[in-house]
Amino acid sequence: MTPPLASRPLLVALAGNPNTGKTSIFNRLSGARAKVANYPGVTVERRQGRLTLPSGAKVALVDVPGCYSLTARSAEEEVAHAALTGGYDDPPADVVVIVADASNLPRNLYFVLQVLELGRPTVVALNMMDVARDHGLAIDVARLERELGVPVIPVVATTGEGLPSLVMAIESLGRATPPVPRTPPLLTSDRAVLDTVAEALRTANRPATAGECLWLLTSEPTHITSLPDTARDAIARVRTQLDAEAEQVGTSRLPFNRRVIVARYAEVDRLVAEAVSRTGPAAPDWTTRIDRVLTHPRWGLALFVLAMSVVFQAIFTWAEPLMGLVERGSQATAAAIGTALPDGVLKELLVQGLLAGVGNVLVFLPQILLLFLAITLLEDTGYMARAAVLLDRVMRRVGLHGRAFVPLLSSFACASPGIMAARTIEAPRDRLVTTLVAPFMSCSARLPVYTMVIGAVFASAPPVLGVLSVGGLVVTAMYFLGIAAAFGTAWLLKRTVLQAPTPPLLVELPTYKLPAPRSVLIALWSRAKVFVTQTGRTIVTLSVILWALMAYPRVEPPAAADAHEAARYQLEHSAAGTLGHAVEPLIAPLGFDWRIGIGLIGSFAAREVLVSTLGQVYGVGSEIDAESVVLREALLRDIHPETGRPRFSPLVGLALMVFFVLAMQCLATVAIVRRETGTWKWPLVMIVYMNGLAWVAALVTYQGGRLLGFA
Amino acid sequence: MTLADVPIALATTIRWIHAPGDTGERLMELGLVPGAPIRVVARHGASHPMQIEVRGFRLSLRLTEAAAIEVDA
Repeated sequence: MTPPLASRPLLVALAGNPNTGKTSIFNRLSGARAKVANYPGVTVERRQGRLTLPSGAKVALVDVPGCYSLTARSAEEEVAHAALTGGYDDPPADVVVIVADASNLPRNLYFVLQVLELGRPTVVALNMMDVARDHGLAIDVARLERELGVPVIPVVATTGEGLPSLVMAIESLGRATPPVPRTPPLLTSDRAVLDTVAEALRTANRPATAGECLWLLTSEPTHITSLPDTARDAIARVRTQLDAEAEQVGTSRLPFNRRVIVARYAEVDRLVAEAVSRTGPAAPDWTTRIDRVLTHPRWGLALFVLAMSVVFQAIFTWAEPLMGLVERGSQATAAAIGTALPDGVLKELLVQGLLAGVGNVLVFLPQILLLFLAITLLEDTGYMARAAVLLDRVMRRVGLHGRAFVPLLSSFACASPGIMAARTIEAPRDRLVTTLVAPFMSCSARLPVYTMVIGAVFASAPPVLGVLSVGGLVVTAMYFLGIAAAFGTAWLLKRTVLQAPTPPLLVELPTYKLPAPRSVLIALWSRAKVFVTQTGRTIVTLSVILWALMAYPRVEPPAAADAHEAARYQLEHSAAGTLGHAVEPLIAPLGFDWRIGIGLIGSFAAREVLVSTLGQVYGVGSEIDAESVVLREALLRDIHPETGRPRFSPLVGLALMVFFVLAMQCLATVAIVRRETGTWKWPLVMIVYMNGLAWVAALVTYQGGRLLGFA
Repeated sequence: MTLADVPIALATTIRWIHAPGDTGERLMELGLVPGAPIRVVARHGASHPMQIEVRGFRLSLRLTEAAAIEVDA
């Protein structure tokens, strides 16, 4: 049971259309202390902040997913409805704050009417009054307040103007008794339909208001939870009857669901006529002018490509010093622990397990923050909607929405933020497809592996056509292989297990705005927090496990061995070494021996670990990087006893790179997919599919290459 | 005549939404109901989405969806 109000914070839900400045208001009211989690069982983010009212009362502020309607046809709308009326372990909201865009009042009022039908204590925060003024519109707030029967408070989200009045309104509504729900504006004949539903629900011992009956009747049955079977059957009967009626009259009359929408908009038109007047002509419209260029199929696309190149250059070059700082920091910490602690298990655990794990988390943070800074800026200015439209033509071919492009592009830096960016895709199946294929994009962690292999086996090859280096061409080919695998898999998934029609593209193109710095910073802070705390925990845990596999069981090194040889001997006889030998039959057809096997196992913590693991295996120590000449020479010196040529041939190198392009070896990604999909099912499917594909592709590369006469 | 055939800048009125099921209902909930005034802001050929203005906001939609919106000739 819900605890009484006095002993818990006031639950305030912040709801509204997308692009209304809702998140800015949320950030302004609750500051940087938001907690981000998923609603249980669905991939919908639940952001909750805290706030203290002037009276001292505590408020839990929930940021409801932005949507154009409360009628549940998707998980977002189901969650939005539940956030207001109760569900997903939450009680009904004590106060609902609707953020409405004053410059776009009709469509926002449609949503307001839906909320008022629920009968929760409600206040409307009317944002963007300044934009409305620029459009030449005057809004009679007092009139609107009277017509709606709830307080309407003009606010400016970017400056915080009007927010104190909004907080006062929340305060007084929190103590008020819930209002009478607004009657849905229906045709008289349709009221009878609602009466039938209400009667059936009463008989099923689940009395409901008219607004609730209407919601139950028009929502998708799969998105209606917590309803007794008898009530569900009763609603299904009414629905069947309405469908039969629609079938009979054909197109001469709108079906019931659409009659409801038309009736609500008739009420909206009446309200707008009462409260909005045109005071003058609209000010020069910058949005139209900018869009003439930015949404142009050719120029717009060219500028998009340019903008993205700048973003990625920035991510790679600006993040570099910060990443170096993190690496030096963890090396310095490792050294400090090294001198402070005696040699032993504790020291190894701290340095090679825990610290390495923490370093692996933090090293990605600069890139993730820069990428999210770019995404937040593009989103807040309103450009992201344009990018989605521009890329629709390409993405539609594989059955995806234009919005899927941004997560895929982001994944070239790192799949973790890329997958987090997939949240902007509304349709759950499309979001899942995007999430599952994003890791095919060659991320920055694969680059050290490509660099190492190319340095070892392709560096001495003569340039193609005199100018193009073989290494550069090979790396380019690897990037394209990843893209092809992503698009091919998306195409396949959309036609098989995740079959769904290509979603319609209905993208609102909001007015361009300058982003509010404070809101951007808070957004970045909350992303960083989620990554470090939630994803970081998994990475660190698995890093410690991997260390243990490489450190145990303990063996006594041969007496004459130096430190490097001792480390190498230990690794070969550790559980990981045993595993390396055990997987050898599996990877031998790909041209890999047990040494690369250990490297592969190590690379499941993070791909770039391959370089340092191979360093350990080949006994050149772990203090090496991808360009290391020592490792390169060690690889070339390792002669195959039968062929008399280096075991690590160009063909083996190529097969290894192909394997790395396609294989799922990133614990961070697995952890994020687990978090985003809410189950272990999809991460497991992804691991099996990607690694299976990687194995087959590496097999084809190696065996095919041998058939063609390469060694 | 359907929205897909409306020339740029011409203001007209929605007559009927033929788009089936979910898509049709979503279009209508965005304010594209019979009788609503509508204007084409930009179009970029047959394979690119077009832009319309309805009830004071801009919406981008594919021509396949636009072809399912009947407007006054």
